[in-house]
Amino acid sequence: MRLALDGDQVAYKTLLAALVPHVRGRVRHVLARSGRGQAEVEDIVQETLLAVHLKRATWDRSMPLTPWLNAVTRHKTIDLLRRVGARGEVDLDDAVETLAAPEEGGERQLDVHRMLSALDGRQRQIVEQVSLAGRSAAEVGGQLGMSEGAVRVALHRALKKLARTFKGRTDADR
Amino acid sequence: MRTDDMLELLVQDLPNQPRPVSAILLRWWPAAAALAGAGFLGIMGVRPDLVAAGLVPTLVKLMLGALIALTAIAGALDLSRPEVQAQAASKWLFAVVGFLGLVVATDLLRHGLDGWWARLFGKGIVTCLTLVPALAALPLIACLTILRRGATSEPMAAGALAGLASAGLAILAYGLFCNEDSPLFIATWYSLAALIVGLAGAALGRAMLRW
Repeated sequence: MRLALDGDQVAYKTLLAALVPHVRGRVRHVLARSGRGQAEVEDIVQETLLAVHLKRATWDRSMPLTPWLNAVTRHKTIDLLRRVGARGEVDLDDAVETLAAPEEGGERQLDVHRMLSALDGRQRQIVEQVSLAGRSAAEVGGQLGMSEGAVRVALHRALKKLARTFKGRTDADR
Repeated sequence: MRTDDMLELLVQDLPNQPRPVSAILLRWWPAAAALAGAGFLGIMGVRPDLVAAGLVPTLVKLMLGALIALTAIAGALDLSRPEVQAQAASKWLFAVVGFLGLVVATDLLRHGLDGWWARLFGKGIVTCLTLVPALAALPLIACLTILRRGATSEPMAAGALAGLASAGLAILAYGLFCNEDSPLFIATWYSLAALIVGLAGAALGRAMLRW
């Protein structure tokens, strides 16, 4: 994480990939303890990773990473439970889905269109190019006729918007 | 979107390095308070008898304001990290309580209980309870806006600390204007004014500091 915070993208990728199973485990644990289905696990994992990324400056480098990571995960999980629970609704859909859904190695395909529809055309193109096609900001810039810097700015705005959409989505959808 | 695809997004965004909350806060929050304080003192003026009559009481007011501001802002910054609990972040506020106790004890030791009622209720209560919150409004908004970059697990407590801290800075300016010098008055009404701003901060924090 320290290397990553200094801008080492390879280290960052390795780190994030290593965090995923840990986060997923914590999310499952909290959801199970609150007696909820596991249908939202992957949503929460992604929301947590986005928060880990956007809020990484709130980690104190002199402290171990795990308590910070667990606090972020817990916050995001409880946040979802609160939003869903506040409407006092027994989530039958989720229960059914949990029973019916085969184990997908935790890689549940989410509603890409709904998530990305929050973004405007350019942001969406960039997000798709980077995430699905795995291109770097510089490559996407060349492709779309934008400077690398402009791509980065657009990408950063898109991520913030995604974070907000994650929060809003559970409110609006259910 | 698959989780793996999302990692790619985050990695590509890594060069957008967020700056630490403390760096931004410690720059703009005092600036907002200074702006409000300078405007206030520019219009209302420093009390004319500052040196002649009010030096020691004014020092007490300034110390109280500084102590509230420092302890509360340290707590608010601490609490902007998600793993920190409100209780741990607020523990330094006991220094303020201790200081208030000292101020009250000094008053009672010097003057006894005779006339404590008169020393407690000065003419400046309403002024104090309105002007301190008014002066704290701008720094509080600045503080909360900056704390949104943080990731607190306890938005209300963080907001309350932001409110107290901003009231502390407001007291620094108000203390130069206020001519109520009884320690009992200062300890009571200045704290109440700070608590009012703290409550406002808690309410605002609850809405603003969610993430």
